[in-house]
Amino acid sequence: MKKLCKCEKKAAPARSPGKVAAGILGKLALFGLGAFLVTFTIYMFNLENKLIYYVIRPFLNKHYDAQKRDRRIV
Amino acid sequence: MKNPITAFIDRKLQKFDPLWQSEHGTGGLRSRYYDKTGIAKYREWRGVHDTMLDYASWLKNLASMGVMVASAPLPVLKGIWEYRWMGSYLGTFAFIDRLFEGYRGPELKIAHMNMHAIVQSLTKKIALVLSNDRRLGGGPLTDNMVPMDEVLPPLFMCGFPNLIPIPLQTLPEFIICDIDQQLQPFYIDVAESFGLAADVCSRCSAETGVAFNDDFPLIGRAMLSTNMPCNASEATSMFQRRRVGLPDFPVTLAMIHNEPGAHPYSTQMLRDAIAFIEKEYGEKYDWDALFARAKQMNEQNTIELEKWDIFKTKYSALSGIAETLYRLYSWASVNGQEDYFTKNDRKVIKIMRRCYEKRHEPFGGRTRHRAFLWGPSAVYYTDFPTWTQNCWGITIVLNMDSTMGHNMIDTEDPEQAIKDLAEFSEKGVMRHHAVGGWDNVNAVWDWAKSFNCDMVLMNDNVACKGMNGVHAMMEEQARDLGFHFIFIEHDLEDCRTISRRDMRNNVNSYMSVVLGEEPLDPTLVDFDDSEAW
Repeated sequence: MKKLCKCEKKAAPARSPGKVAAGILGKLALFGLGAFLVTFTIYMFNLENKLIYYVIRPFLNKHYDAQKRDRRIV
Repeated sequence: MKNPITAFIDRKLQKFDPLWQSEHGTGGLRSRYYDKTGIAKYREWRGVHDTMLDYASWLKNLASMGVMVASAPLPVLKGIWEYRWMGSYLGTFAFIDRLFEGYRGPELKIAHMNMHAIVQSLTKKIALVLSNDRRLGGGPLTDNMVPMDEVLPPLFMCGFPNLIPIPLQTLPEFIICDIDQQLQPFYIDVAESFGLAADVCSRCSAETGVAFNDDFPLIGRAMLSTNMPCNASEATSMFQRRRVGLPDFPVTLAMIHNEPGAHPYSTQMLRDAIAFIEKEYGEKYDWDALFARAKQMNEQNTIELEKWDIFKTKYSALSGIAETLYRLYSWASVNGQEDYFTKNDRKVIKIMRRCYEKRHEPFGGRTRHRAFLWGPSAVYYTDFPTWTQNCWGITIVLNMDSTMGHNMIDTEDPEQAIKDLAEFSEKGVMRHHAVGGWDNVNAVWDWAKSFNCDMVLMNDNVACKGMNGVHAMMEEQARDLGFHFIFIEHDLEDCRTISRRDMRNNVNSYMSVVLGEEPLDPTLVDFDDSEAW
């Protein structure tokens, strides 16, 4: 009898559609939970506002102050 | 009925709720802020249900901003890089947090529904304007846009379905001052650096500064300016039309419009404005297109009048800034053009009816005074009504700006429709009350009485020459009629002259010295937010 080479894998038994759906739903739920944890942490600890106030706006303000504008009345 | 699990969690975590803290002397709404900056260490814990509602609303607003960037990634990025005022829009999340501090239950739900209507509309408008701004490369709709003065209600322009009216000053000057108090002083300084007087209305000064600094988006083929009878307003209209350099039609509506003779003049003015747009843009006015949008505006105004009936009771789930800001934006900027606002109004009135039927008292029944807010409010302190509620239990029942044009527009006869539009437009933002003659200013007492208010908060724009003239008369009448009356001094868009803290102290002094009351939340009485957006 021919031995299976180590590199050859046994064909996985076909999964029932219910199991496939459950797997997808499980992954979606896991993704949803992860997204919730990340966004809720940002929300609760006000991280986006801290980033904007302490990092992004000072950087932008420096840029705006260095801008050359066409400043005139008419 | 409350879910037993969330009720259990709420009981366990209630010590983190700032309203509970203020009642138990362990803190309050101001405890979670870093000094001066207005940046909170963490967001407000409002109990499971309301915190999740606030979080979901935050996500919805975030999604709207994501859609804005995704719909026009390059123009939006270019816009942030090009325009100082675009950078200020990054403060929107902190702005919304400030507005609805201390809100719970249906008050919070309605407030977020109204706010999201504004966010979804404003983000679309920003993407649209930047995508078609000639300065950033232009777009397919650049020539179809009609820049117009923001105090001119754009409803009559709906008769041009192929054109897009854009209130020119709203994005770089007005709305953004609500979000960031630090922005307009820059533009005011630009205007004054050219030798312009420093004692004029700061709103006009800021608009002028935006024009001088070349910070208006470049859109359209011709513009509609308008009149407001004060020296600064006339000046800024002239400066803007010269600098923008497009063919211009000044839509000078009648100011003293209570007299019957004024309406034919304003009606003819609208006809002339329509003729000007037809000529400049090569478009024919379509009355059916106008009627379609006027029906939306009529429905919104019908709902608004029903809201007013509920405002007169103590069972209104909508009050304060959730009412004021929404009405201001939906009337002055949207003005019947977006179905979203009609749908939102239908949902909000349903909640308000339900709350009224259940005799729901907003803000946990902590309201002590019902106030009518009169006069143009400080744009740099939009959350002032939230503060008065949370600190002293003064609920702002209605704001002067919310009483703008609420007459119905005829939707069948063009002759009647244009007359109705003239009357509607005469009662525009500030036009009707602040500069529309003594009777309209003095109407505050009838409004306050009709809405069962015991207090009038009178916004006192220190640079408004017209309103300065009525100071003593208003005080005398308040005394005669028995209203609690507080002048709230402010400088409209310049937070350096009179700070938010100074404005709060006007109320603090009256409430503690004259009325001898104790604050609901002592952490809110005196604090420094001078470096906040």
